[in-house]
Amino acid sequence: MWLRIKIAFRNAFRNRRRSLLNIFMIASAVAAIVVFEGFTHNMISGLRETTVQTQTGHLQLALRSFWEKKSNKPKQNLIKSYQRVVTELLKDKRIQYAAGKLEFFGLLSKGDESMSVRIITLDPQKEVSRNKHFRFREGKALHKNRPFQVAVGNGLARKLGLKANSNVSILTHTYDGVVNAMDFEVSGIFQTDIAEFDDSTLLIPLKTAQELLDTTAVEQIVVGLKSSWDTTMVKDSVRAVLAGIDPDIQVKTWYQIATLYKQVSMFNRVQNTMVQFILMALVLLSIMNTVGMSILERTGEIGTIRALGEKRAAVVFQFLMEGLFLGLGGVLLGILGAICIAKGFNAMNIPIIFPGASAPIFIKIEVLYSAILKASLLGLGITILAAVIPAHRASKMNIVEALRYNI
Amino acid sequence: MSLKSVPNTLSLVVEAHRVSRTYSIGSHCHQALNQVSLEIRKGDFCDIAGPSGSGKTTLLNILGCLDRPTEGDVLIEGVSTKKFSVNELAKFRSENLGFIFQTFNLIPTLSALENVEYPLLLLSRTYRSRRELAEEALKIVGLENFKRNRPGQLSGGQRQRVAIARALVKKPLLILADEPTANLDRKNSIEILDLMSRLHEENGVTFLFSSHDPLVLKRATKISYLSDGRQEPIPSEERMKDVA
Repeated sequence: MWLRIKIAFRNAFRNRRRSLLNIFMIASAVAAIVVFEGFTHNMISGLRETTVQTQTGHLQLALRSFWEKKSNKPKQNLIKSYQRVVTELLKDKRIQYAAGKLEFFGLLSKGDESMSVRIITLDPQKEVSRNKHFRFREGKALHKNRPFQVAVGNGLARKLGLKANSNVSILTHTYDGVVNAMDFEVSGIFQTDIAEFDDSTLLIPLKTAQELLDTTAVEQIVVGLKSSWDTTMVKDSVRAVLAGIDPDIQVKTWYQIATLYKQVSMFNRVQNTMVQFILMALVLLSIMNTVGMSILERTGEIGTIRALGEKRAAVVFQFLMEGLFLGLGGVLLGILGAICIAKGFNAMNIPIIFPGASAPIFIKIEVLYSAILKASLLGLGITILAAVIPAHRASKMNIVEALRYNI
Repeated sequence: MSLKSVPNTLSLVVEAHRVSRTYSIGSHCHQALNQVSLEIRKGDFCDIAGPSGSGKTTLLNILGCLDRPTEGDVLIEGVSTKKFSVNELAKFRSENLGFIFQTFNLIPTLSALENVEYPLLLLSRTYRSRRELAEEALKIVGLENFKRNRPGQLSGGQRQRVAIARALVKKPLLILADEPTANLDRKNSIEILDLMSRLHEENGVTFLFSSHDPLVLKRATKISYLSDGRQEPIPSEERMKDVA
């Protein structure tokens, strides 16, 4: 066996220039896959964290009518027993926080200027970790002891010329349709990197919002977990808790709600798959050509070993081994290349603005074990696959015909 | 059958029985061999002679189980090869036959020692046994000091010696040599044939040549003459020289 492997290894590098070109091609494909996956993973996981931490939490609870958006009367969507639900939920050690949430629209005014805004509540006392995830470019986050402060998104603040400590007023309708207004001080200007959110959103303490809307209930309950991995398991536990309190309350995971995240991650997945397919097709054709050429050049040699008594399967094995060696060389070089590229890009801190982002982010490439494994298996699999057809053809050669070719 | 036949009572190694071989070239059929019969016994130093295109190599290929006859049968130690599968023939060749080719046909990526070792690899011999036998075979052909050299680093004569060692190493039933001196100069041809003669005389190795080289004809203990695919009586020495 060792001699066979030795022969295959030497044959794989018999034509050095051609073999190196192939190895370089496989390496480029492998490196491209690892780098591309690492880049998109970093981007997608950043978007996921931002979505979960600043908008959705890990789980959201609301009445069936809220999720189905059937009711014309928003008041019917309110969860009245939310305090009890929150108390029960917090008994689960895997839950970091659980807080009520209201989301509504209002008119934000500074002096003579007014703008329609989306107002989202935050409970500074309970949602400490969520509160921390808003990056404040100016001023401070909401505080439990300062109920009449609001935090404003960066884009929105720019449009209204707001700064930390600016005075604003909010005008909205209560759930009973009565117009209500309150004066606030801007605690700070935040940025989440999602332009759509930063351009139109304002954060307000939950209790103040309830006063403004004249209710003691909430529309949703946001649940944050200590670990994202527990999401599905906790969802099942929460469902069991809700069955005993109010079966009409339904729970959804962040993934079910985060439309933007789903669209972006799906787009990236399709894009990655297309790129990988094209790269692997190129590798397949290149290796098929190389092994085919090699077989043509070694016709006499194949005839000789067959004459000596080598079986067809052994000839196939030899060419597959040669393909495997090229693949191994390419994969190892590709992984090394990917690590170097990742380190280079990470050190250069190149800023890039994505569509829908409110601020540039730095290109960060994470070299993922899963991407290395995927690229390696693809690289090796394709090289072996590319060698199968020519190797099979070689094994079927007529010995007498093959011996006519000189070695 | 042959003018220079030496009576041999030893056992039959290979027997060609009314063998014919026809090739189709487009719509045309070419008969390369026509009803040829031949017996090779243990210890023979036999040559299939004849002019170019007479069917020598075709007969050698059929006797070496590299090709199948269109008609007739080849019996190895009395067993018909007609019903052997491709893999059974390969196994048979690896166990019983040694080949020496006109163009040496050594594997260029292997050293002389590894080339000689190769047929033993097909017999699943251990590494140590392979090495010992291959070194011994190289010693017999006088190339023990060139065992690390690759074919590209050897002369034509040396390469043919390595090929002889490769054919010899597994102690086969029969060694088939297809024009072994065709690519060698006279001095090397004589040396190679002397080596083969010595192996035949001292070790009793059975050789079957396909050659019209007078040097081979002079040494052969049995000659079968072919012309246009048919067996014919061996022509006079003068005519043989013309043919050669």
